Amino acid sequence: MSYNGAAAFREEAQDLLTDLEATLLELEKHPADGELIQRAFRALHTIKGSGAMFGFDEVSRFAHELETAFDQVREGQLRPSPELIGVTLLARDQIKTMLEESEGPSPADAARRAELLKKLGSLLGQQDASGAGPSASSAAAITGSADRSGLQRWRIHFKPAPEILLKGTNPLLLFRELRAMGELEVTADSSGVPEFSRMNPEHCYLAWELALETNAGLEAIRDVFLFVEDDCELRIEPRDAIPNILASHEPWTQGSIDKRRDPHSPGGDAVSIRVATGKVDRLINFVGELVVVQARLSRLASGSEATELHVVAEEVERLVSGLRDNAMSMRMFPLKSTFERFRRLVHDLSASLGKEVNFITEGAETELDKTVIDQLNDPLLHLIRNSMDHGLEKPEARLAAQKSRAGTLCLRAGYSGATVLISVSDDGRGLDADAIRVKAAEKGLIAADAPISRAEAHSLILTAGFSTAREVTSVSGRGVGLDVVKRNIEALRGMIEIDSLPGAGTTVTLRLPLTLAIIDGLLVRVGRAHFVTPLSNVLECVELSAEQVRQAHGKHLVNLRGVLTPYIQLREFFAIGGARPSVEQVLIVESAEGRCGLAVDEVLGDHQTVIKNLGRVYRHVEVISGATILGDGTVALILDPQRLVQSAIQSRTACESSLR
Amino acid sequence: MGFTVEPADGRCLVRLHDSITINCAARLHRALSETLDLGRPVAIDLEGAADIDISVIQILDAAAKSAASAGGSFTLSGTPPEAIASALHLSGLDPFARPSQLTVEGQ
Repeated sequence: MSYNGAAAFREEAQDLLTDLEATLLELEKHPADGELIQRAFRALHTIKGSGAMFGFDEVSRFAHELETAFDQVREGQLRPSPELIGVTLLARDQIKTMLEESEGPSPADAARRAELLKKLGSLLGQQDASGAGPSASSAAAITGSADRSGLQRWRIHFKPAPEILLKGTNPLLLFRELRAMGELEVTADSSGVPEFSRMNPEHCYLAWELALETNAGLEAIRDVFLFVEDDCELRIEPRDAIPNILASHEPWTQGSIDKRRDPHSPGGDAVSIRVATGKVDRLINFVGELVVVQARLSRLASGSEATELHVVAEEVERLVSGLRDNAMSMRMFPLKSTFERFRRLVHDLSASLGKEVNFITEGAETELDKTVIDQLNDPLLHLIRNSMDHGLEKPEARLAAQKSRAGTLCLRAGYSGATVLISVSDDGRGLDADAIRVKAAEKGLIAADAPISRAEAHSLILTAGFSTAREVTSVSGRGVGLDVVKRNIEALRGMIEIDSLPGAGTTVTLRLPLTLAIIDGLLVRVGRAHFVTPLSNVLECVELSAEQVRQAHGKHLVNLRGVLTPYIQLREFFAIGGARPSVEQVLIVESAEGRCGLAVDEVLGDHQTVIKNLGRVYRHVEVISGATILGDGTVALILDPQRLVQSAIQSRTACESSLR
Repeated sequence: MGFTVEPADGRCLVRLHDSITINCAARLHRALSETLDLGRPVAIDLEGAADIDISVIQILDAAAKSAASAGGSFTLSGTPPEAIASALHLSGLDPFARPSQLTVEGQ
């Protein structure tokens, strides 16, 4: 297995570009925020430095030009104007394109880069007409306490982490950079080097005290150590401060190094490594197989009288459960990067649509299974585009409607039990239920005189008939491809809810499961067939005696603490032969249509369910969301309670219509 | 790229070539360890070296100290090129600057 530096750089650069984009968009709103300016500069600086290190010379050169501009912004010589941010955003996209092209930049790329640099140059020229070099004046600005010649003396303590050499850092290159800034005196402290025979030749045991006389400022010196600051102990002080420092200096020990180390640095608990998603997926698959085998072991143990086997089976169960939770947590990602991506979309769309929009995100730290996140992009894109295009009004229209000039678009996420709720809400014109009704009648989806509630009208815009932009815009101003959104979300075993008030805005909420790989389920039996119901859907379990069935006069209703609740007889629903037991169990589940029961012969208990796809042949069997393998090797189907209830309602409605 | 070890005038002559960096640090350390363990005088020839990094300088410095403490000899043979001399200076370490214990030849 070899280390691929270029691939690692590409990955790192993608993260940096994402961060740069978010920072620039934030900076546009808060142009005076020094921390944001610094972040943008650092991202560009790192792309430049790492790019050069891994042979991405074009990327490095291009990033260097942008870095120069942001250096001027940092020094207060250039304003982070919307124009500059606009050009930098385009340049950021260009870097992304360059990174994605495996065979190197094309001639078209070069032209595009030249055009962007020209724009950048003109922006720099406008504000830097004095012709003074940025570094000279910046140094003067920062080294306020310097002497007349502008030179200041700095003392730098640098102790790299032992592994720094293995990470490709050569301290000599850093010292060369410092030497280029002024007079440098280097004193090495080799007291930490172990005896020759015991030293690890690839570790760095040295520490340095550097004396630098320069007219560059603190920031410029710090930037030299930018790539290594997480892997070293670094102190940069004006030389005058040295006596005070010495007075309070304590000798360096491992303990003191640990104490002084930044808690967020990779040396602390926050250490992380990059792993290809394919590897994590394979791990999850193995864990899935292990869960199935463990279930078999537990089953064998329960049928055996060997006490030792019981103990081992229980221990294995405990370990597998821990392994499962840990493996699953590796696939959980915060929604932050997904949310940030939409910030750019909103920025670009608001400019092209001539609308003013405040984009707010909440709960971006909410974590979801990566598979779910990957498939969430398109639905959210649709919803946000809809809100921007059709929901939010132009400033004039908003003012006329006594609203603020700028609309608000909010992307929100949060947990609700074992599900995650993600909502897109706007304070735009809202849905026009009457117009939807008229259009639905025109399309033959409902009878012309059918009275429908607002909620029903809202659900109509999720049907395929409302899926083309022109039609929907003329009706309700909403609905581009919402049927596609619905399909995508349902494919993720999720639900979609719409709430809207005319004139006040619309909220579309997506209800999604936390994970798609392994769920906690309730194993039940009907005749000789086994089924699993996701535990998150089950509210409670009640008994249904033959007497109660008789009293209901053939109606499928169960008395739930005085409330009559309908139930689905799974034996009838799946046409399973055999007689009903004298006492059945009814699982009460929550669905969009309300509470409903599922009558089964027996509840066997909870079951860690590894979801297996049923394959293409069964993909249209909507009430079943997958299958799982039980401890004895037999297959149990995983029920989709939501679809099951919908399907039962539909077949009942069809039955009643045919009787009329 | 790398180094060679050969006997010369009763000493062990270690010639460093081209770019000698962390990539050969472990091998160089092993070679020097074996030689020092045998108590043989060591001469380092940097004339053919073009680039050197801190890992190698650290090894040379530690080897020089080890030789000195054992009463052995660890010397520089020939004149290092400008780039190498500059790197040694910049590192703040000079494995061959211990005149009381070591001799610098060829100067």
